Amino acid sequence: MELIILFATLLGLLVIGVPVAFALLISSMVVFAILGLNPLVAVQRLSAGIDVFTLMAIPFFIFAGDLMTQTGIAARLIRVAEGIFGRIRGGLGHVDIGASMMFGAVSGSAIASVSAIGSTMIPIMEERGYDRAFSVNVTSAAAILGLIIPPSHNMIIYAAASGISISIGDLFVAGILPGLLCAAVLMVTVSIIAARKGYPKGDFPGVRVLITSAISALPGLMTAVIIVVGILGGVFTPTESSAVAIVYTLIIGVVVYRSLGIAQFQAAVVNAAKTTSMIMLIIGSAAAFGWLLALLEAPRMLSDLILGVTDSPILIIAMVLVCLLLLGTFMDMAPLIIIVTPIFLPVMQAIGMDPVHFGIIMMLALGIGLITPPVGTVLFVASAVGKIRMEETVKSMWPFYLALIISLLIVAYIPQISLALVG
Amino acid sequence: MRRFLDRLAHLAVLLAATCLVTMTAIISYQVVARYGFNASPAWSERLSLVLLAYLVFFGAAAGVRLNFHICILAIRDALPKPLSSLAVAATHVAVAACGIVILLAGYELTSALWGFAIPSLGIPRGLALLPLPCSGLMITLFSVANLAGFGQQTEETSV
Repeated sequence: MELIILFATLLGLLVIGVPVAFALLISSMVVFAILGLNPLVAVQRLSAGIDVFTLMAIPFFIFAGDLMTQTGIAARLIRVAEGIFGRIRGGLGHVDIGASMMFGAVSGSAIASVSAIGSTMIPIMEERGYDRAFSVNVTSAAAILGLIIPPSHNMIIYAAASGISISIGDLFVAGILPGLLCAAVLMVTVSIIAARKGYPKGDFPGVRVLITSAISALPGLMTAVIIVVGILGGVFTPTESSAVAIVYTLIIGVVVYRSLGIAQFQAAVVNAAKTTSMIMLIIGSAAAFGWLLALLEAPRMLSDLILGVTDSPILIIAMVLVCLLLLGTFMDMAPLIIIVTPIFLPVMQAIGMDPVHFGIIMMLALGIGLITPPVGTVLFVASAVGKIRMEETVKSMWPFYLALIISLLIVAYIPQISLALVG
Repeated sequence: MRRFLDRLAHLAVLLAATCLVTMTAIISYQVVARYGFNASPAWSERLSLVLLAYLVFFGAAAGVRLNFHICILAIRDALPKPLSSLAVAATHVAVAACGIVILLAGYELTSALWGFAIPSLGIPRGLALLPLPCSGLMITLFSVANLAGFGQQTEETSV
């Protein structure tokens, strides 16, 4: 009964427009009161939920990504991607995917990717005869790559929410091949659409331009290498690696790119502070909510329910994927990771799935949720950047949904793709 | 009144931003101290976590005024005008109520733990919890002001 009240209150508050962080906290407080517990415990859980050293990597990754965006790295990455993919039919669609993949590696944020790459790519694509809706579709779908290609702060949230010891380094490495797979499937989709709509090939700018662009983008791309290699080599903890990435970005932004002044630094730090406080409040509130779910034995009840229906791993994975995709359509990624990880992870472990593999599945499934209505933050920003109504974007989005769902199924049912590089 | 509320919100963002820069400096210093001087400071992680609490709770309170929290508006916006206005008012009331609970519970927690020191820092444990009641107070103030029509700012939501 308390569980029903918890979810009904949450849903009611979300529907009337209460911010997600407060909706999670208020619904928890209501059930705390019903259970006769002091609401002080809810606030205590909120505070304890963010008092975790590993989670400190999140503000640092966000700050590093914002700084990197301010250095103008996006334009450099687009030039590199244009040199590599420009000659294929529908070349600019491939350039968008390639640039988003690289941008994901330096920023780790789908929203930053969609704003930075989209604001440059969408007008160029339109100028060269591509449909605006198609340009927005490609940019939104490609932005999801940033969540899987390491580093990704959402993987840190998953590791923290799992309640077991999961190596963040392993999660980062596990994202590489699935990220490349998704990019390949998206590129096939773009090629099919480009062939049907007669989109043009681009011009090859020449080997010299390609090499110059690559050299120019290399210092920016090194950020991802520093983070991943630093963690895997045991040189830094994830938190330290993200702080070092900020210092490194500052150095290359000021000394190498000479595009990072005081105004850009201020813009990055203020934006990062706002984003961090918003995301971390959601994480803290979701921790209080998750604590209540555990108290009400929701994970055990769901586990019993699923395992009572079937003991086939294939069907159980399918059921969990459907749940993740549905939940992702109406809630944002960070709170969902915190809430559903303790619920679904024990079920997946019971059927023998590696927690690292499940982490990658979750990133991809909930990432798809970011580009699906009604609550698709990435879709919303992409539509705003492309100056097009969200409904229009969604109408022509289905080939990309299909591509990402095919990628998700491949990643979910072939664990080797995620685990081949781990360890 | 509007100017006071806006200044207060921007001051909270400034404090959050300062905490973020200081945290970066502390953790970078930790790396340098470990590899450069072979001595990892005992206080660095704990102090950064204290600053993180200030960053999160002051920034989040400012978000109520500056309107940068994530929320689902598709359904509310589709409602007829009187119903959507009612939903907006209910939202402000709900957030204000939440602010009051954070203020009261935060005050209780802060005062209860003020007498205990954080071992690695030697400062009162309550100091790390102080952002809770401050944030609760600001959230309540901003929500009541929003309800009373003192113009909530409209910023784009950024993630």
